Amino acid sequence: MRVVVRSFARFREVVGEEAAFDLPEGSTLADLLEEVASAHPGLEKVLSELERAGGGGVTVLLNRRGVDPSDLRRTVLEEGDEVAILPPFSGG
Amino acid sequence: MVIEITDRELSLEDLVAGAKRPDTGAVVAFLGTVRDDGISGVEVEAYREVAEEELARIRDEAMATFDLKSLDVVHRVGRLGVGEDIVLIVATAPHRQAAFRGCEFVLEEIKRRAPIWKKEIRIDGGERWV
Repeated sequence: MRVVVRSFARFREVVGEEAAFDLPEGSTLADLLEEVASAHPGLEKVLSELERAGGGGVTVLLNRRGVDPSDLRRTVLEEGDEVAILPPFSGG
Repeated sequence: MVIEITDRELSLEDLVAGAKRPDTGAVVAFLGTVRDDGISGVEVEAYREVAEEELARIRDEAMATFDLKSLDVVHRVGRLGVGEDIVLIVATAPHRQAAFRGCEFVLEEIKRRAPIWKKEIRIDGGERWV
């Protein structure tokens, strides 16, 4: 199945605005983030620490809804899902 | 009420004029601008659809929590020079306390919850996400 990863700010400069990833059926959000990290070593540390650090200010959205970092491993992806990875916010 | 992420220049005066009503005894306006930290400007980026949804949620929470009559929030994106406006909030209420508190609540929640980012552009051309 194919899912789309949208990235912003410092992550966009590494991963690109939109990147498609092909994954085996039944893959989870955690599996996807491992794929992203292995394709882009610059993000490896950030993404591998997501679960342990409770996000560390990084936000993951699945189809525009926030996913708690502790749920990454049990969130199964489906064809056409849109996942967004967002670095810590600095607006205002 | 206005909720907008925009690359257009925004006008504090227009928003204030649009927000005033006979029953609003207090209008509090916040204008966030690009501070000169040895930079030539900032590049502001947003996940626009999600940020506008979040701004609307923050507005709704503020309206439900404080005795407000209206709330407008405009956040700019794109390249902004030192001194240019980044964020504008106008809160109106019958009395000043609610308008001050509502305005501050909205700003703090935007900083915490809205998917918006700033990159500083240094005078020497270097760049840094903040």
